[in-house]
Amino acid sequence: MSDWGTTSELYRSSYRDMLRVAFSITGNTAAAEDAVHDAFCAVGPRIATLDEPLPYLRVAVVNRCRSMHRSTQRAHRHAAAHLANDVAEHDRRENESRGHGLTGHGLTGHGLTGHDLTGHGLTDFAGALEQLSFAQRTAIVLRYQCDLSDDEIAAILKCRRSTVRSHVRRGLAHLRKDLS
Amino acid sequence: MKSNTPNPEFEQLVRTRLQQLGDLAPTEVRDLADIDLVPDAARKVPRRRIAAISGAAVALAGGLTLTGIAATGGEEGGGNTPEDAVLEFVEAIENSDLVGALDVIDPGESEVLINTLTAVVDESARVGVFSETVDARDVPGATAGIEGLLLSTDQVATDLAVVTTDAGTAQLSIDLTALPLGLDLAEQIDTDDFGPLEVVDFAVDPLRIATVERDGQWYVSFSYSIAEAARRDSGMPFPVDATVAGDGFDDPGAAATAFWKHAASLDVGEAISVFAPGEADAIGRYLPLWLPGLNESIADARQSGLTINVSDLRFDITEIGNRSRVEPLAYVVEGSLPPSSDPEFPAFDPAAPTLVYVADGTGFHIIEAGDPIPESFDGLEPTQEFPDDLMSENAGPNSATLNPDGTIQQFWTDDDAVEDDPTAQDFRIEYADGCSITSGAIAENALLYSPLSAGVEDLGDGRYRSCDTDTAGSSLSVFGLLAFGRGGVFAPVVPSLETVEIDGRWYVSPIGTIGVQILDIFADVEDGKILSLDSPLAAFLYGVDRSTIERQLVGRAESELGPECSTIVEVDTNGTVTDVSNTPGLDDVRGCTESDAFWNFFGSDVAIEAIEPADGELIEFGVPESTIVISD
Repeated sequence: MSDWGTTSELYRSSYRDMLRVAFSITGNTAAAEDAVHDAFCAVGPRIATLDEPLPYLRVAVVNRCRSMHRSTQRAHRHAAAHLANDVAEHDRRENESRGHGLTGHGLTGHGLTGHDLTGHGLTDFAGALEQLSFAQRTAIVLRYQCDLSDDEIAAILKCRRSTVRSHVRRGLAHLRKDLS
Repeated sequence: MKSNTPNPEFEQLVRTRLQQLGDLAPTEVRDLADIDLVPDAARKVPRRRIAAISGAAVALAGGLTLTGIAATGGEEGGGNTPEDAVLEFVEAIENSDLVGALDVIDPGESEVLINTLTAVVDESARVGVFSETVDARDVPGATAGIEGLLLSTDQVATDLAVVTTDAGTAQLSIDLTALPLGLDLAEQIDTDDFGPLEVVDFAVDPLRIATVERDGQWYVSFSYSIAEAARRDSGMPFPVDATVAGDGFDDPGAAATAFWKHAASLDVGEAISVFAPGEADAIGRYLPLWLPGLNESIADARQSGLTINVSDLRFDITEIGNRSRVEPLAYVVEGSLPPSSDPEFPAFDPAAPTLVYVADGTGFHIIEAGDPIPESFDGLEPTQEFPDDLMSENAGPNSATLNPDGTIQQFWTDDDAVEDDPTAQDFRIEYADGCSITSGAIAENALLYSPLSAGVEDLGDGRYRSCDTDTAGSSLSVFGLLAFGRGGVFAPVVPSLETVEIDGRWYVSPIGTIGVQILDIFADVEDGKILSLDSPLAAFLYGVDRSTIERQLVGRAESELGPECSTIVEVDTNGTVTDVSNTPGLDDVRGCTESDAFWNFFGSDVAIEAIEPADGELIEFGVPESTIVISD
């Protein structure tokens, strides 16, 4: 028998964290919400039987994101447009707060600090992240946003630990190349 | 600095950016009551139409000549009829996407196939077969054209139908420039080698695709297609009995232990009962057709002394979702094998002459039958006169080679001649901590045929230990005990299995286990090192591996090799080949290994001539500027 009281608690305590992960992977608010809610629907009835529901929930969220990635290329492009707007707004606010205002490259942080990578705005980063394969993107999000270990990421991505390391290393290399 | 070198500053930047990105996620937590919670089972599978075709799909589904799928048959997967399922399958051939293709495959097979395929594609990208951005759902570069398809259906059971392509054509095309190959690999492949592929005429070569019915829908089944083809080829009747699934086991280790115990004791029926229902339905249904014949052969072997037992199994179990990889950490395999009446190597025949070859090209010397084989070539005269009657003996002459130090390689002397052993030969293999210790009569007998190989340690008490991780269970393969020298009774090591949990019970996953074996090949390849001669995949890419090339070239004079091989070797100041380059070009290796000089030990001025003895079997010899013809 499902324990929806426990599910509610889990939902309230973990919803935002799950949403951050899903948003970073899918790049889209609606898709992220769908993925997280779908995951809760799938995990909810089993919550009472799980010793540690959080890792299980995280796997479910990533799986939902993967499904979306696979099946909705069109939605993905749509999401990219939304993401561009969201992060562009973020960059605009960030630049304004620094007193730089808009740059000659539009809403990104190009040109603010020359060739220093840290000077690139979130738009560039999100765009570069977008270009990674699903596995590389997810591995990087789980590593650097969720601070998960190789073993934990391997369990989520259903691959070997060495493959996780490879995804992360290659993903970082791609990001550096795109941002440099 | 290389772009993939770890860089803490950049990693910190990524961390910061990801936190900022995450901050853009919605902050509002909606009340659970506001969310439309629909149980998973009631959710509908979205319609999908997938475009593009995958080069990997071409390879993996090559047996069917078909890849790609469009699950366009309604809100649920599959088709309303067997022909619908196949038509949807064929419709997708003109599109793309292997992973998507699997959506219309029998649900009992599709999950494990998707997992396996995705992992293989990921690993392929990691080692450099594909580019890092490859997505199994969308692999460009391969297209298929299907025209004039005409189908017919044989309903062989209420839940099984075989759809045959009676007419139509299919043509696959591969555009290597569009395939997402790894950069290093792409540079090595000559696109001119790949023209349009052959057109398949279904009227001449009909495809028979088995479809299965699940909950009212029809799906294409790989395993049933294979089983049906085997049944049809063997002329067997369709199996009457439906599959009876086993009860499963409490944990992955118990399932794996049961499988190996049954397999080792050659109890085929019990072994397949350990397989997972769904993906093993076809095996369970069709294998009993061949069981009587199999059991008869097994009974004969047992009568001759065959016994095998596996015990003391310990596993390393890695659970990923509802699946587990079960890797043996330790085991004992022991038993006895029937006596051999066909030794792996021919014994020395004292009634035949012995031909001693001189590798410097001066010829050979023939030692008459019954004469002792001298230890050195001193006092012997090489000749190029080949006696007419030398090959007329049924068994032919014995053969020996002159070593560089002037000694003659000793093969079998009369005293060493091995008599057939009429008794069964016992063996025992203990594997633990990455090392195997082999003992028993078979090990001793094997040493009569072959000297102790490098990496095998004689423990002095009749036991031999090998910790060579490059060749699995190398002590066994070196001694030719089981798989290689003794008729392939079973693999020389207990390989890893994949198990799956279904309704709380654990089973062995046959398809997943095949995937594990494939992935294990990739596991030993370093990132991006697909072209390395040291890679386990080198033999597939180059046709030879490093050890073969080294054996043929190292120690020889560069002047002997010709231009084809000079590009892939390292040479010392004396002009002697000392090593083979680490990552020679694919074409360079092929050019070398296809040259006469590569296979010819007699020097560049050697003429390769064929000898056709009386029995018609063609034998090639390399003899300097000579022509040897033996006529009957």
